[in-house]
Amino acid sequence: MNSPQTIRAARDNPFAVHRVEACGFRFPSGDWPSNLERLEEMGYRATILGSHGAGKTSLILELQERLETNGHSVLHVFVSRNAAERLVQCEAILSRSTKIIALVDGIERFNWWQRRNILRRVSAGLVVTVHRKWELPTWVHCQTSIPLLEELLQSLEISEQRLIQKAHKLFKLRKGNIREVFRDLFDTCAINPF
Amino acid sequence: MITISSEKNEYQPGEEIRGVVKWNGFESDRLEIRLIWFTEGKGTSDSHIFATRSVEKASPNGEAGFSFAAPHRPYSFSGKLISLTWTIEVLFYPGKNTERHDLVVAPTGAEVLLHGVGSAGNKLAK
Repeated sequence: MNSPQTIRAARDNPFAVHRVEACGFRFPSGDWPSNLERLEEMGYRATILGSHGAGKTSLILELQERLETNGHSVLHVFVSRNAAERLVQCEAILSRSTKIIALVDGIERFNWWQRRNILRRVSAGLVVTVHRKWELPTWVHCQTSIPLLEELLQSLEISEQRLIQKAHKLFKLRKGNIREVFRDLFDTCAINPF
Repeated sequence: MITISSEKNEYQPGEEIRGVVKWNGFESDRLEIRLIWFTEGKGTSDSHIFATRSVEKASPNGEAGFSFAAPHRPYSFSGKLISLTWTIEVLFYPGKNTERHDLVVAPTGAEVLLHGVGSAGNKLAK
């Protein structure tokens, strides 16, 4: 059981990033094998759709691991906020466009021409995260909900009722952004004696 | 199965970290024994490889010794926002099977606890 009273170090905080990541992504329907099969049927050309903090990055990171384990060559790019870095990232994707499955987290940060080039030239596979529907079909629509929040809290072994109630309040306040909810709860557990 | 053992788990900077890695049932071209640090807590984890020892053409069952000088910095520490841990990590190639053995590197041999963090955070030194 994790409760705020027993926390002494960041590594022991139940909302530490490594603990949250260990929970793994929860698909809205199906499991990893069935969803991977569907992605294969889509020719590895698809989007992961969802709002901020809905699990898109968690999913794309797990997807990278699974594809590599299955013997695919994968290039994972977390698109930079810096324009010069984005140029380099775009070139890196295009230079290996026929050999790798490109996993592009945050393709909307690329400009129109860069997105167009990536879409046209990356032929071996292109899976991207987006906040709105894009030109590729949707593989997974990441959506958060109170039941999902409760499931994750259970995985994190959170049993303190006041912490669970706070999670519910934060879920509304953060408009369903679970990443932000867990960051806030990390601070709660780190700073407040509760 | 992979096991990592060291003569002790707490070291002062400059001390020699010695130990043995034993494995069985691993088909591997090569294995690496690394001394690394990593952070855990709020935000993305950071890590750094301090030293590496490679073992080429490792047989499925075997053992290999390692010896590293304990680094002078950073110390093992824990605060409310970040913990930094030193560890011996073993990686088998290909396949990426790994195992870790955490250590404490600090002048007193105990993890440095930052202001406001209680003694229960010092679990590695026990």
